Amino acid sequence: MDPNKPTEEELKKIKEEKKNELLNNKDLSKEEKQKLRKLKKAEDKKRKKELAKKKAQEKKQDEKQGKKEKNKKEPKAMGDFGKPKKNTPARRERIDSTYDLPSGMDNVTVTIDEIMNEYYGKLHSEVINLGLKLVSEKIDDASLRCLAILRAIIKFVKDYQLDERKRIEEDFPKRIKQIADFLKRCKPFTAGIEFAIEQIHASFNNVFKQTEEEARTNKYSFEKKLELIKDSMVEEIKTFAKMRIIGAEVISQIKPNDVVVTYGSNHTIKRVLQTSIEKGINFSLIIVSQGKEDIESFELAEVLSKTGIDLVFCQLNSLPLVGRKISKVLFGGTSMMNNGYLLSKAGTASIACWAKSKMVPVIVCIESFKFSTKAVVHSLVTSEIKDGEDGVKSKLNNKYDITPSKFIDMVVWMVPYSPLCEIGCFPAVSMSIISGHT
Amino acid sequence: MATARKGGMDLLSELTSNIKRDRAGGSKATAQKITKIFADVIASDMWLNATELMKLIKQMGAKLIAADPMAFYIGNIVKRIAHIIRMQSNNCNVPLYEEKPKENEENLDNPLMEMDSLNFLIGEENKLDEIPLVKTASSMNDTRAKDPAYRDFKSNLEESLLEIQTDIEEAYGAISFHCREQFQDNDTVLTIGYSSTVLELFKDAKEKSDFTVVVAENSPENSGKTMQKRLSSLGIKTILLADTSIFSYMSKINKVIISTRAIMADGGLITDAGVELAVLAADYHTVPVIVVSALYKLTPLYPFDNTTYNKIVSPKTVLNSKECKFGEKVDVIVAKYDYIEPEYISLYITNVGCHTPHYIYREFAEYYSKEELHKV
Repeated sequence: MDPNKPTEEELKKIKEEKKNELLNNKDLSKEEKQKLRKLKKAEDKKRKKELAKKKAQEKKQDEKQGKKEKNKKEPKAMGDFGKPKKNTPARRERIDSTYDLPSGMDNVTVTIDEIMNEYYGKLHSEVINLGLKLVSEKIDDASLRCLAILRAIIKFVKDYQLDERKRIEEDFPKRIKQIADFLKRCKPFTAGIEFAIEQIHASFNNVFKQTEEEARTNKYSFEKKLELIKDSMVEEIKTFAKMRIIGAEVISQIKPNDVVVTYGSNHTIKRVLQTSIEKGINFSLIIVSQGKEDIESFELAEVLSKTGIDLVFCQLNSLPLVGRKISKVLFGGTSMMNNGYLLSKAGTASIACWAKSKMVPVIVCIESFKFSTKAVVHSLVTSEIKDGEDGVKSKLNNKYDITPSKFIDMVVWMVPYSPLCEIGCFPAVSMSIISGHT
Repeated sequence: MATARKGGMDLLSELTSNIKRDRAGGSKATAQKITKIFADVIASDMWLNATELMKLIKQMGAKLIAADPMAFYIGNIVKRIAHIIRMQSNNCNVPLYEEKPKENEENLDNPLMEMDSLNFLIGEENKLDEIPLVKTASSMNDTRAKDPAYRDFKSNLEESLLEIQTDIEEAYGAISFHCREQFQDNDTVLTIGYSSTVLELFKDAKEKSDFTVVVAENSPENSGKTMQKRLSSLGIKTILLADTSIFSYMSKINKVIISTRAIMADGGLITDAGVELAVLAADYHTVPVIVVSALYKLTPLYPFDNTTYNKIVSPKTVLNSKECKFGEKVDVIVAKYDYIEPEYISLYITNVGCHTPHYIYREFAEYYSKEELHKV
């Protein structure tokens, strides 16, 4: 990506604003005004042509890369340039503005067309790609989403270029913020992702200070300094992903002959189950699926069916019959609130409520990066209208819900060492003590 | 005589096969058809005395019950008619002989059940004396068409059957009437899946108050969609809700109104699968749960958990043929019914009025005789 582009565009904007001011100025003569108008029209045409070219180029590149989903959506954007369609499939509407996502997100109103129009060429292509995937809800899982975002940012850092006249310490955080803002518009961030972005900012500050000193003593050139910063930033982000997400230690609470219930599939839960199976623990599993569209749970069932454990697959409504002999309920989660409430896939609270009424322990397995500093007490988190398949509109379909801490017996903290609890398990109500120390 | 017999039996076998194939329509329509058949039988010459009639009714009932053992209302109607025959045979002095070993012991075990009902106990004490406790064997031969007792018996039975028929026919109206006071302006009411009883009462309540209905989809059958369509075509503000979101939306809901497959002897319910989770959520949010049901759904049987009366249906509705690749290695279970314990229910509204879970068992004594109670 050319780092000079945004500045050029900014300049253009400033010029345009000045011209508009001139146009509105009553003191100008008619002739002068007409001239200015003509000039403006010509410029507008030029710009449109440039944009079209840019798009065509991008499209070619994508075709080479063989990105199917982009190819599908590209023609729409081209054909409808500047006018977002009313019923773009990925359009999501917030119907109840009083209930915001706990991590304080803006409304999700971005469409694929809007991404094309607004952000094409301004951001790294990898980030745009990810944005498209997020809008079309291809990556749902909190951990996987965080990993994907980190991966995109790593790609961005690797390709990062800067003019010598500019200051890295100002430009780099600005760019990261720009990317974060864009991705946030595509799909609201979870607490985990927000934490990861914070960590990137923090580690940039450290890295920058260190390299600055090094450069001063060794008298490095600007390019070398930039390379050093880039390398260590990539390293920092990779370590974060390794330590906190991919490599977080699995503490399995599954004992032999347990009958375990999980809800849908989740990166964390998948790891817990697989580790338990690898350890040779003999247990049976009930996978509760959200519905026909819940592809992840089908995948989990498929993967685990190869290991030969006892597997039962059912829908939420059949759980009271299927799960009458269960001994444990395991949940993953999107984030853990400061007051011990769990933000997770819609339906989790129902299962937890049922399990509690049956006196079955509910265990939440969660990585420490998903701990949120916010506290939430209501269950109704976010509402999205999804068009029904057969013409039934306005179906309320929550993406997430909040499970009260009352229903959670234990939280398993997936981190190798902590000063507060060596084993990594604690009651949900103690969440506020723990979250201050992560 | 032969033609009447044939006609009745034809109707019976037709209905039986319809019930078996789940084509008989809703519970109300089926109940009406069943009572019609029994009314025809009672009006016909197919029986000569009360004992024969009882035998006949029980035989026909057994056939109907066998068609769908989970359609409890069929058995209930048979039991109710048997109860009426027993009562009328007492009233009209028509002898009725049934094979009842150890009858005395049973009575000793359960003295309360000997009384007909609480109303009866309080209000009509004198009637107890009128009921002949011992029937004489000699009166058996006199049960002929010319016998006035027999004629009385038959006309009384026809009258009672007519009563049952009108009860069933007017059930929705009566339930709606008793439900009216439950609705207030700006209420948000949750209901689960499709039910014609609930639909009728919303239709009725719409005239009086302004409320919003939230319909849970009730997957995998998604009968909630039909309910939503019907309700919005009636001009009621309706929102369709995904099953997974019931818990989170419960905080916005004032009351839950559900219909049921059956009200069981302990006051518990047999409902469509998925209601249990919703009712638990309502309990957590302390939202009252109101159960509406016609009295023919009052079932004198005891379930203990989800497995006592349930059905496992085809997993076709749950699986996504494109994504499902696990084959035979995974058990896929789809339950049809849920059992709901009485403590989660705030109020029962039937066509005779409102009942609490503690009182509902008294209704059983009023509607069935002790011989039929707790028998399949």
